[in-house]
Amino acid sequence: MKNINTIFIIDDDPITVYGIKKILNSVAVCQHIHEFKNGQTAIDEIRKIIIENTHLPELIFLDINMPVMDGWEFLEAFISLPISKNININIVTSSIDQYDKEKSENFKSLTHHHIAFNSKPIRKSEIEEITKAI
Amino acid sequence: MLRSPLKANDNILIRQLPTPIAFINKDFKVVFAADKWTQEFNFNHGEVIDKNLRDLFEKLGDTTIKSLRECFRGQQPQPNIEVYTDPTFKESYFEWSFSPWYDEHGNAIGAIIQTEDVGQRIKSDLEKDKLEFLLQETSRSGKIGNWEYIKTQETVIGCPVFRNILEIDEHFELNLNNIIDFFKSGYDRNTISMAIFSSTENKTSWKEKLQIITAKGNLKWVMVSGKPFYKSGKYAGLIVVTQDITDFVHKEQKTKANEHLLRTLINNIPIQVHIKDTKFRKILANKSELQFCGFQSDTDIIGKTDFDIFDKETAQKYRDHDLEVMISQTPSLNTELIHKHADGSFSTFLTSKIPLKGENGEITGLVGINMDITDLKKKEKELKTLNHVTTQQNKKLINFAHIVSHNLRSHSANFSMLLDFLTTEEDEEEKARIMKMLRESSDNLMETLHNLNDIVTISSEQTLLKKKININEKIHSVLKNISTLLDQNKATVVCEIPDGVFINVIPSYFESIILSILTNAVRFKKPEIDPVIKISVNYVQNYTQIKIEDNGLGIDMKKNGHKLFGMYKTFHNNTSTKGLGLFIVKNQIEAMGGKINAQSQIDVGSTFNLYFNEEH
Repeated sequence: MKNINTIFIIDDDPITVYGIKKILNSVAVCQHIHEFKNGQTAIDEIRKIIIENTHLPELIFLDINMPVMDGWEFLEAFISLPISKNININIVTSSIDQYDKEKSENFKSLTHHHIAFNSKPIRKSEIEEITKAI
Repeated sequence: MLRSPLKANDNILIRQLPTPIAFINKDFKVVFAADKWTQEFNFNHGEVIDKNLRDLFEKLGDTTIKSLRECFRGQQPQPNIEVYTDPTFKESYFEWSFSPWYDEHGNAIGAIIQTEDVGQRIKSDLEKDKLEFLLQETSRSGKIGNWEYIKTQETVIGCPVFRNILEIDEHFELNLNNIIDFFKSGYDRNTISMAIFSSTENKTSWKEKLQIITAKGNLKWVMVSGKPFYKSGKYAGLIVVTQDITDFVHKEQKTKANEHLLRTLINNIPIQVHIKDTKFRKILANKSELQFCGFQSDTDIIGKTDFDIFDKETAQKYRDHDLEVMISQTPSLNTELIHKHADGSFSTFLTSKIPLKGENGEITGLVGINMDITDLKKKEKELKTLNHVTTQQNKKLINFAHIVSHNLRSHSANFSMLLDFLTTEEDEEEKARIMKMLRESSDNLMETLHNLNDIVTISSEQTLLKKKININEKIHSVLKNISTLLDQNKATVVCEIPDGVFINVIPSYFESIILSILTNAVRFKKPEIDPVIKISVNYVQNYTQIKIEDNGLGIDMKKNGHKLFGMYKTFHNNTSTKGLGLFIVKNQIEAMGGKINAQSQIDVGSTFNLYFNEEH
């Protein structure tokens, strides 16, 4: 089984968070899974990690529609941070809007981080692929 | 004829002759001369006797010499005219008549000359020629013919021009009856008959404009003037002058028709037209212009300036514009202008001013054209508003569809995922947890559907009746409903709205809006500061503005301003908010034809401005 150190799940829906966690634990050994209710708390945490020079997450699951700071705003803030490491960001959204997909493509072209667009519900097979790639 | 020899005292006799006569012998010498003759040519008696005629008259014509010679041969020549220049160089015309002078044996021994001053006669002949020419030319080019009725002979003599007018030849025999018959039957024929009758009876002359039908069937207009003439006080006939004025009448009719057309056109176009002279006085105004200036008839406005018609400020504005056009001599076209009426209402005009120039390019005035585009402007504004509303609603619809699909999908995704887990899960405890989550998800879906239904209701039930409500009363009833919430949070509400202010709204929406904003203000208070909420009223353009200010957390408008009234948008980490309140507020206020906006600053507070439209 794949061993992953730190994973961030940023989503305000507890059921989705529960689901992702459940699948993750069934396909990989995850040391730390951190949950965030919106983009703001997550970005605050990442900034803290950079300053304290502790462990950045290898994998981020990111919802789009969230209060306070949504997924897009998080991405914008995230890609501007000085992170040389290639971080795997998986957008997980219930949106099937083509516009949202295009927006994620646009972010892809702006950063060296790996960004993928996934529709809810996220399947076990998809998470398996994601963890394998790390 | 003188056939006896002349004796010495004959000389005395001849001198006394009453006619200017001279006797010439074959040597052209004057033998006898009547004093009349010598005086005629300014000679003294002694001067002429025995003098050669050719010496006396240096410029004697060859014809005279020839005639004298004929007399010497006993022939009788024709008289001829000699020009005589007197010592003052005044020319006179004399007719010289000649007869042979015989002795007692019947032999021609000379000639007898009789002279006659014919200056006057020649002059009248010339005058007559001239007059005849004048008459002929005038009558020809002026198409003026005349005819004469001579009673004694019962005849009518018509000149060629008159015959031309009637289109008859010189052989056509005219009489009073057939002349009358040329006039168009009815009014024209009656008039001419009456005129002729009346002139014979009452010695009156007449002048009438009538129509005739010529021999060739052409209709012509003629001016007929007639005068009876009398011989020794007795009616002798008529002289009638007839002028063909067909062309003139036609031109006149055409000009009149053109003028009428122009008048009708100017008067009936729904555009105000006026002409001003260089002293800015109106010299022409059409019906629309009269109406606009509040006058009944032309005479009320002619000669008046804008200062006589409008208030001073308005008049000065127009005067400045007039001056600009007159000085620059260039037209000012389609300027948009707002006119303030005496009753205080406004109209929008499209105004054009065109300078009028005289023959030498000098300014003689200006034409002003005003088109009232008030309705057009109003419609344009309405259209813009409608377009805005449509765009807004379209945006809202897309947003709504997006949100609906997103929300429903997120629930169904959860169902799908949880059901997936449930089928493979063996741990009973975990199974129960998943079941619980499924139930929660189902409840959430129900609530979401309920919320969506609320919103659809606002957007579709715009027919809910508006009522006039007392703002203060309504706000106080809301405050009463949330008094527990207010007390718990130690909130103070200061309502600065005066008593007796009314507003036209859907009462339930109004309550819901005030409730949402007040509860938000309390909910997002600063943790350590007691909330103070101020409510005031104002009038902004066509809206009644209600302002609700708080001293709460505030929102970062730069970052979140555009999302403030969106659906499912929350800005604070507060679990009790769903991001629906302001979305519903916005929908409700827009359903009443109003609008809402907000100002906010983090750590200072928020101000919500509610605008209620009185018209709708």
